[in-house]
Amino acid sequence: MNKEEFLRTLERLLKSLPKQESQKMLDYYAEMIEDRMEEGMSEESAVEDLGDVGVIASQILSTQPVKEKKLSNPAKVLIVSLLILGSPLWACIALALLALILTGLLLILTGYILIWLIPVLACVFMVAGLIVCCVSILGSPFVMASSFTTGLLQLGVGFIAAGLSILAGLFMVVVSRFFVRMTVGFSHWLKVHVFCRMKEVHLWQS
Amino acid sequence: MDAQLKKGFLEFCVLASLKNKDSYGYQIVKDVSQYIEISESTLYPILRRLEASQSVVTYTEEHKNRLRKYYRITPKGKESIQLFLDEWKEIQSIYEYIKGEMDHE
Repeated sequence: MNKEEFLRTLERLLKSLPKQESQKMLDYYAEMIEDRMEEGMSEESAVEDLGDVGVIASQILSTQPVKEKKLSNPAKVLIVSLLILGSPLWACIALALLALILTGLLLILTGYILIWLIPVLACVFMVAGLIVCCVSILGSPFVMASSFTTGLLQLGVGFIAAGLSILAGLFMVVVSRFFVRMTVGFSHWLKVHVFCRMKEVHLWQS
Repeated sequence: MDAQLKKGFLEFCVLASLKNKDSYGYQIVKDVSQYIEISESTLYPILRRLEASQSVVTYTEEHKNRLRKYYRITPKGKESIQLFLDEWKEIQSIYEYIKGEMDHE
C-alpha cells in the first residue's frame, strides 16, 4: 500500500468524523509517513510501519471524545428513572390536577355568564318595552277611532312600556358598569392571587 | 506494563520529550519509544489532550517543501512535569507498602 492508498482508505474509514477532524488525522499520518521516508524508508515500508489502517481507524474512532451527553449525571438518571417508574402515580395526580383546574375555570366562566345574564335580560326588557311602546302609542289613534276608552288604555300602556324600557335601560347601564368593574377586578384578583402564586410555586419547584 | 499506568506515564514522557526542544510527531514517537511503547495512534490523543489543557502549543513550519507540525511545551506543561516528579515520593511509598506486604508472608 502506498501513501496515497493509505490516506484514501483512512479517509473513507473516518467518514463518520467531522470533516475538519478527519483532515487533521490525515495530515498527521501523512506527516508520519513522510518523516519515515525522509529517514530512508521506502514509501511502502513507511506505510507498513504505521500498522494496519483498519486498526488505526478503529483506534481513532474509539478515542474520539464522545459528545457529552447531558444525562450522564447519575442523579439525573435516577430522577428520570423514578419519573418513568412512578408515571402511573404522577400521571394520575397530574390528570386529577388538570381536571380540577379545568373545573375551576368552567365554574368561573359559568359565574361570569350567569352574572352577565342580568344586564342581558335588562337589555331584552328595554328593547321589548321600546317595541311595545312604539306599537302601542303609534297604534292608539287607530284604536281610538273605533273605541276611545280602549285606545286611551292602549296609549297608557304604551307610556308605561316606554317608562319600563327606560328604567330597564338605566338598570342595564348601571349594572353593566358595576359588573364590568367587578369582572375586571375579579379577573385581576384571580391573576394576582391564583396564577401568580401558581407561578411562584412552579418557580420554587423548578 | 499495566495499561492504566502506562497511559498515565505516557503523557509525562511526551511532555519530557518536549522539555528541552520543540518536536514533531515522529520524533516524539522515536524519543519516547526508547522507554515505553508508543505508536502514532496512541500519541495523537495524548497530544490533543495536552493541547487542550494548554500544556503544549502547536505551530506549523515548512520542512523540505512540506509542512510539519511542531509541538512546544508551555510553562503549564513544565509545571505538570514538576507536579508528577513531586508525586514520586508518594508513588514510592505506595510501592514500598505493596512490596512490604508481599515480602511479609
